Amino acid sequence: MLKRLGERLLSFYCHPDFQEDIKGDLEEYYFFNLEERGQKYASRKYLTDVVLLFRLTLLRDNWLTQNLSNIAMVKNNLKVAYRSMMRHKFYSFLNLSGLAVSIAASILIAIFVQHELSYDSYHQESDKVYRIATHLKFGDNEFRIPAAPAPMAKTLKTDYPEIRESGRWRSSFTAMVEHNNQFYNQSRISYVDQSMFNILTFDIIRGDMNHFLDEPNTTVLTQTVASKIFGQADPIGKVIRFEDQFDLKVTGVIADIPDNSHFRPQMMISMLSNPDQTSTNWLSNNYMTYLKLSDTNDPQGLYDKFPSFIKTHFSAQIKQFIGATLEQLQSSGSIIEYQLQPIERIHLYSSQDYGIPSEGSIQYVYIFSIIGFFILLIACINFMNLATARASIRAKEVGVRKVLGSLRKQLINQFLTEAVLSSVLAFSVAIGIVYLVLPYFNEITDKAIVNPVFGSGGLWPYLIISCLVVGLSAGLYPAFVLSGFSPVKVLKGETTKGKSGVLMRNILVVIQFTTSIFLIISSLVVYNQLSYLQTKELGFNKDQILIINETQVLGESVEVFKNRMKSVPGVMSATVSSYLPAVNIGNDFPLLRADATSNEEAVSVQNWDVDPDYAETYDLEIVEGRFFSEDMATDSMGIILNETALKRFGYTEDPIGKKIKRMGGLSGAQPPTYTIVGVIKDFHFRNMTEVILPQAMYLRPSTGSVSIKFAPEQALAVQKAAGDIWSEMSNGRPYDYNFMDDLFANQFQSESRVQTIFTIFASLAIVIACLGLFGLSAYVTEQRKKEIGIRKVLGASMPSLIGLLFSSFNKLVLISAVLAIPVAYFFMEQWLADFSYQISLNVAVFIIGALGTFLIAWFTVGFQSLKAARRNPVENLRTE
Amino acid sequence: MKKYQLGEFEEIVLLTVGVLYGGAYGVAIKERIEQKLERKVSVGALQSALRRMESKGYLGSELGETTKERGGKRKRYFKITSLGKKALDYNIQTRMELWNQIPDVAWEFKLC
Repeated sequence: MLKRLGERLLSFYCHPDFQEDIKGDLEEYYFFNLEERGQKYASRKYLTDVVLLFRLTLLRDNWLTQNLSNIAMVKNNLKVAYRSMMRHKFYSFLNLSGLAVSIAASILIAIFVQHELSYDSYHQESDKVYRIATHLKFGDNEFRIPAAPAPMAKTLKTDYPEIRESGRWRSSFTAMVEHNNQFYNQSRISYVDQSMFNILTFDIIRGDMNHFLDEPNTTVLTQTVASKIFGQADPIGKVIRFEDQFDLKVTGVIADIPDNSHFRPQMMISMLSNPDQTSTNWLSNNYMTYLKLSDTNDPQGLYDKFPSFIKTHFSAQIKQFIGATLEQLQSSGSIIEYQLQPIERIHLYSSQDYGIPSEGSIQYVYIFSIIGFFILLIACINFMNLATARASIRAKEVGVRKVLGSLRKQLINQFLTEAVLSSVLAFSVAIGIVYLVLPYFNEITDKAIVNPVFGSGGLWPYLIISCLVVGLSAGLYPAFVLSGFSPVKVLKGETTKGKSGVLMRNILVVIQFTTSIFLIISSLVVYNQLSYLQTKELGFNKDQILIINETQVLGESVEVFKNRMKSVPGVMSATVSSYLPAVNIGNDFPLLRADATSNEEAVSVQNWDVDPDYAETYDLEIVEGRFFSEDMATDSMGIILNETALKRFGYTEDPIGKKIKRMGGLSGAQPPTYTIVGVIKDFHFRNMTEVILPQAMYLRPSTGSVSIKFAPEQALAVQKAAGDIWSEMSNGRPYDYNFMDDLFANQFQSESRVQTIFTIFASLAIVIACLGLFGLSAYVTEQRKKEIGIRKVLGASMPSLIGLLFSSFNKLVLISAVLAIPVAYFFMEQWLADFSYQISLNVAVFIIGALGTFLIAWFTVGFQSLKAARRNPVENLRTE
Repeated sequence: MKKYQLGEFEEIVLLTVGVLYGGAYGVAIKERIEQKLERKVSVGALQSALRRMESKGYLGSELGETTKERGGKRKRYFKITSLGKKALDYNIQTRMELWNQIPDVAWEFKLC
C-alpha cells in the first residue's frame, strides 16, 4: 500500500529519464528490507526514501528550469526596447512625458475618489449604522431634513428590539470657552448623547469611554482643543467655563476625528446639559439621530414598521397642533416619512437625497472618474498612434528578425515588453509627480492626504495592476500590427503602410478629439454656470461690510458698542443681528394669514430678528411700505416679508397693514399676530444654489453679531477702531471678525473647488491630446518629405502646401466635433438641471469648443507643416 | 574561480564509482560507501549527487540489460569520464600540495 503510493509519487515528480533505474534501486532495497525486517518496515522505508528523493536535480522539467532560457529572452527584449527608445529620443520623450503626466493626473483623481468613497467607513460595523432622515410635506412646503424629533431615538429603541443602540447629537455652533482667565472662541461644538460612543468609533486618548457624557455639564475634547486649552497638562477633571454661563468638567479626550467623517465636532457637551433634549415634541426635527441595528441588519424591515410607529406616537400631537388627524393630512397629500440613511452614504448621497448642502457629491465622484479615465485613454491612444505611425521605421527590423527565424510570438513579446517598459517608466515618473504636487492638490481639494501611494491602504497594488494593464493595452495593437509584416515585402522596400493601419489611426485620433472637444465644452459650461452663480444679482450688498462675531458676550452694552462704532469716521451704518445673509442660518417656522381657517394654509418661513438699521447696512430694497423704525412703538408687533413670502400668502395687492399669525403652539395659548409694515425685494439670504425661500423679519433683539458698513477708503481705520473699542468694552473676550465678502466666497468653496479641478484636468487632457497630435503630424510630414520637395520644385505655393498637410487633420477634427457636440449637450443639460438658477446652453459655447479645438490642432500641426514647407527642397530630395 | 567544483560527498561518490569499475550502480555504490566509511547514506542524497555530477560531465552512464530481478527494471551503470578524473586529480593534488606546505613546527603539539 505504502509502496504503491511511493511509486506513484515518484512517477509524479521524478524526471522520466531517471525513473527506471531509481525505481529499480528502490525495488532492490525493498526486497532486501523485506527479507531482513519484514514487509511493514520495507514499504515504510520505500515511501520515506521516495520522499527524501525529492531533490531539485531529480525533478521533471518545470517553470524553474524552463525560465532559465526565458530570462535571457526577457533581458534581450529589455535591451532592444531601451535601444529603440534611445534611438528616437523625441518620440520616446513625447510618449513618456504624455503618459507620465496623464498617469499622474489619473492617480490624483484616484486619490480624490478613494478619499471621497472612504467617508465613515472606518467606524466599526459601519454597515449597521444608519442616520434617520425626515421627509415632510405639508401643504406647499416640502422638507428633507437629516434630523428627527427629540424623543425618536429613545422611543425607537424601546419599541423595536432589532435596534441595538440609538443616539443623537444636535447643533454645531461656535461659542466662547474660558479656562484660567484665557478665552477661546471654540467652533464646532455639539451636544452629544453618551450612546453615540457605542455607535460611532472614536479613538480614545484619555478617560473612560463608558462614562464620558453620562452626567450633565461634562465635555469631551479632541486632542487639538485639549492641548490648545490645557497645553501639556492632563485635562481630565479640569473645568471649562462655557459662555460665562456654566462650568463643564472635562471627562475625556479623543484623537482628532479623521477628515473622512461627516460628523467632526471639536468639543462635545453632554446632551443632558441641553434642556430641550427631554422634549416630547414629535413635530420639531432638530436631532441628528443614529441607529445601530442588530446582526440581522434589516433596514428595510425597520422602515416598513415606521408608518405604524408614526401613527402610535404622532397622532395625538398632530391633532392638537395642526388640528387635523394624521389620516386627513395624508389623504390631502401631506407626507410624514422617516428614512434610514446608511452612514457610509451620508457624505456622497445626502445632498441629493435630502437637500442638505454637504461638500461631497456622488455626481462629482463620477465626473472626476470619467475625466481620469479619459485622460488615461488619450495618453494610451497617443502611445498606440505613435507606435503604429513609426511602424515603417521598425518594419526593416521586423523583416530581418523574421528572416533570421524569429517567431511572431516572440516579436509580439518584444513589442509588448517595450510597451510595458514605457508604462513602468511612466508610472515611476508619475508617482514622483504625484508626490511633488500633493501639497497643491491638498490645497485645491481641501483634504489632508499624506503618502497616498505607499501608505497604509495606499494605491500601490492597484497601480501595479494598472501599470501592466496600461502597458499591455497600449502595446497590444502595435504589437500585432508590427509583428504581422511580411518579411519579403518589407525587405524589398515596399514599406507596408497598410490602409487598415491608417484607418485605425484616424479612428483613434477622432476618439481623442471627441473627448477633447467634449471636455472643452463641458469646462466652458461648468465655468460659466459657476461664475454666473457667483456674480448673480444678490439683492444685498456684500462688499465693505465688517462683521464682529460673538457680540452676545457684551450683553446689554452691544447697543453701546454699535453706537460707538457708528460715530467712527468712515462707518456708514451698523446693525445688530445674529442673522447674516449667505451663512445658511435656518430658523423655520410656519406662519398663516390671520384669516386662515385651516392649518394647511401655513407657509414655512425663515424668521429673522433684526434691528432698524438692517436694511440700510445691507442695502436691502424696500418695495412697499417701510422698514422698521425705532420711533414706531407698534413695530414690535410688525413684520416685514419678502416678495416670495407675500406671494405665498396671497397678499398680492396692497399688503401693508394686513395681518399674519403664527401657528398655534403646543401650549394652546392664543398665537401672536403681526401686522405687515413693509415688503422687501427678494435677496439671496441663503446659498446661491438654492431657490429664494419665503422670509420674514421682526424687530427683535438678536445680539450674535454686529455688521458694520464702511467707506472703502477707510477700511483699515474702521477695522482698527472696531478692535480698539472691542478690547475696551469686552473685558478680554476674543475679538473675532470677518468680512461679508469672505463669508460669501466661503459659500462657494465646494463649487469653486470643482471649477478649479475641472479646469485643470480638462486642460491637461487637451494638452496631452495635442502632444500626441504633434508627434503624429511630425511623423506624417516626415513621411511626405519627398512629396513636398517635388511639389515645391514644380512650383507649389506655401499656402497650398500647408493646406495639403492640414486637410487630413481638418476632416478628423470636423468628424470629432460632430460626434462630441450632441454628447456634450446631453450631459451638460443633465448637470445644469440640478441648479435652481442656471444659465441656458448657449450655441456660442459649442462653437467656441469646436473652433478652439480646430485652432489648437492647426497650431500643433501648423508648426510642423510650416517647417516642412519652408525647408529648401534640396534637403528634402537629396538621398543620403 | 574554481576550476573543478567537487563537494566532499561528491568526491566520495566519484571515488567509489571508480572503485566499483563496471559494476557501479545505485545500490552497489550505496552499499560500498556505507561499508567503507561506516556512515548512513540516503538514497536521495546519493541519487542527486550522481545526477548532478552527470550533468557536470564528471560521470557518464548507460543502462544495463533487463533482468528478472528488480521488477524488470534496468540498472544504470556509472563510469568516470576523463573530466571526472581531472577533477579528482585536481582535488587530490591541491590537498597534497597544502599538506606538504604545512611546516613541521605545526606538528609539535605542546601543552600551552
